[in-house]
Amino acid sequence: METRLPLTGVRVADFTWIGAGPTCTRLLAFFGAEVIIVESYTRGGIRMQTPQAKGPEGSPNLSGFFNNLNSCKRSITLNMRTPEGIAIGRKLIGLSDIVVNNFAPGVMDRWGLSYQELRKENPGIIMGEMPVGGRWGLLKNIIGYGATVEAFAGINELTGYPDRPPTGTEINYPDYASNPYHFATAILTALHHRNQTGRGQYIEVAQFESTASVMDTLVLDYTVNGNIQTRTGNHVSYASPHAVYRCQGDDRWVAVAVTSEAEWSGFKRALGNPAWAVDHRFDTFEGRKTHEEALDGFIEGWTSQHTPEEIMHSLQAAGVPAGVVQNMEDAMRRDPQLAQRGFYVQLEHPEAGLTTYDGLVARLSATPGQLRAPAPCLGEANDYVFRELLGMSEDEVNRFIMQEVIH
Amino acid sequence: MNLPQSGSAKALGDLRVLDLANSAGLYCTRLLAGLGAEVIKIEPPGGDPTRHIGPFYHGTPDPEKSLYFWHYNINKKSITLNLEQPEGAALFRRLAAEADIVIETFPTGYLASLGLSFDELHAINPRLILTSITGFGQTGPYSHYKATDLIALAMGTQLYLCGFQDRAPVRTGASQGNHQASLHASAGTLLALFWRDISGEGQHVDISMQQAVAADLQWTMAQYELTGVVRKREGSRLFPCKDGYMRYHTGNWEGLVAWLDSEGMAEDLTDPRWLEQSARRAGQQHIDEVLIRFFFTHTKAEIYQEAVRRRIPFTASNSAKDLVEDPHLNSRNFFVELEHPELGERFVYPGPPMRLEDTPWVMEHRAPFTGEHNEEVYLERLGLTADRLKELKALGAI
Repeated sequence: METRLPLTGVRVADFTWIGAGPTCTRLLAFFGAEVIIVESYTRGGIRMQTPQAKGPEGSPNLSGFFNNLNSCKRSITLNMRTPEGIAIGRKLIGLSDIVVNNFAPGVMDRWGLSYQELRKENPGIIMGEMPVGGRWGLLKNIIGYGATVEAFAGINELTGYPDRPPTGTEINYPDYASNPYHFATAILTALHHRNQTGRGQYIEVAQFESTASVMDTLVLDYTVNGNIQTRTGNHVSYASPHAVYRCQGDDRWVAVAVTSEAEWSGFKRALGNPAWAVDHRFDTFEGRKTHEEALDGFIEGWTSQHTPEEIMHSLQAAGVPAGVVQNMEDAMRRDPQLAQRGFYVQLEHPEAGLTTYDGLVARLSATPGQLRAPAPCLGEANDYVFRELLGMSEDEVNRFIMQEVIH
Repeated sequence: MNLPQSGSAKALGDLRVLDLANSAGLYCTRLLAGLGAEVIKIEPPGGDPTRHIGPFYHGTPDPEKSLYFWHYNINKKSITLNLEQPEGAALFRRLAAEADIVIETFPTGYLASLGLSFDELHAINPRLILTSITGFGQTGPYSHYKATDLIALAMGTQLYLCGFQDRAPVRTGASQGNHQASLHASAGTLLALFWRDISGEGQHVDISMQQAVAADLQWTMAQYELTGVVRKREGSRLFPCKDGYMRYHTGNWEGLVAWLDSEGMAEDLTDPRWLEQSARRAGQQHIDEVLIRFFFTHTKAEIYQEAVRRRIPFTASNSAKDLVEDPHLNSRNFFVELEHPELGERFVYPGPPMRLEDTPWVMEHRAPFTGEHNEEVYLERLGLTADRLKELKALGAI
């Protein structure tokens, strides 16, 4: 059965690196876009970072981090610090539908590759950039990383316990959630607009703004009520009990969220209607919220006698939202749901061997995305792009290699 | 650069979206509305349950004054409709016949039980895109399990990574489980839209909140697979200063040392042995202690300003006040006022998460009142008579 990939025929000239850009273009690649990553021996990146798969010493193709973010893509080496490299880059963009980068603002402009320039030859080109603060504004040149963007947006201030310093995700979260998926949403929107009009456009996703947009009621609570929200642990204003409880075992926990009186009844039933649960203090949401500390104490007295899996299954059977606080070993080795959904896919990589890839979430009924290829080795598409797509002769290519343009 | 007046090109202005989403999908429908689609929020008669989520305007619970509802439902229209009533389901079918996208977060099988499964809707409108967001997806052993933001973070493994070793793992603030589900849903919906542009065919988009979280974990999966190390929470990486906390990233070491040195606070960090990244990793605790002594002599604003000037990546752990008053965001008009004529006031909302130059982000009007557009939709658009509308209300269908 032929699998239709919706973005077949869409080409992306991908000048992004590290986290946010590749996460976005990976989504496009899953769904059939031809994503050509423009890399270079003159640029850093994450190919040499740990964790590394076993393989040839010093190979740039063993990074688990890089590989997982770049499945289904092609890779060329092109030295954009040379005029010849820039000229080749321009030609590649001329053959592309989308060009993306996360250089500092102004870099593409200096290379003569601003949107205004590019669209002269290619009016349908969609150009997207993800600067930290934005290409204009008071701090237009500000540098930053996922962790600092997270702090800027207010995520840290809202994460943790009231009696402890703020904490955070420690995974450069904005680079894997707000930034790439706003970027993808914007690019796909521009593609739809182009389908209607034939015209591309320029897109800017400023990381500060993208992440400040996923802050729930942080802004309105301040601008309307003058209230400065702060962290509340696992408690929330709209549900109780709502917390993470210790279970049997070493560092094992279960998350429970009772969001209605019907769920509260189910919860009590699942626990065998213990005496403490019929205390009138806990009869209503307001009461449970007022006496939350005592309530949590009673609940943890029960959860600590059971494994988180037992608790999840028995609470879910009673209609109560509950979930094991899974770690990566749970997710990859013991979770039957992720297994049935095929979330973790093993692919054979020419150097790293049989390794796991994840990341495909949206499941489309008629045109499902596919993790159909491992990450590309560095420069594996040089022949394809330079010889086939750009029509260079073998001599030209060799000359550029010697001049460290194809490099 | 101000946001445009209505009448500028709207990227998704040709689309009509029916919004049946709860918290797991509200940010998705908010994005579609901000990109210019007409989004109709379909609420049960009496109002959507999310209208009871606070905070509330001036602290008093009121279904028309939930700041949660206001935030997520800008630009949208509202109609009331009871899908469980046969007349209600029939009206939904008529709406779906002329809609482009439906976003829903009901338990798996619920819409099918009402005769509104994807296959049934597809038969009515083969161009329709139905996006379903659930805790664990439409298939699998947990497909009937319930999830909230907290549960998604737990089962998706992000929760395990956050907090202090001597306490329970702690959720990331501001509903990031819901946001991740919604972000993946908006991208998935627009992928389906692209396919429809080419083929004319709609389809069903199935989003698992658990998978949305599990996909967004940096190198955590690769680390476990390749080294066997299970990543876990390691406490706070933020440093106290005079009036709050700072987050720093270890770029530009030499610039950082020069800065501390310029204030006589570098201690032994000027020693060239610290130039080696491996040395800095080994001596992290000592470096942190020196930095904390330095931070304590300055406020968040002072550190941030100087860090920006010296191109060292520090930010403050911003509070709501810091964020709303941030000079850079304000220089870009990131915050946008919307009128609330019923209260005689205007309020400041967060603005564009993305800036498309030709089809800019739309901020046209406040969230709707419950059923505010019943007449517009039922009378004008569907052609019901006023009497029939009254009848349907009495039946509990609207």
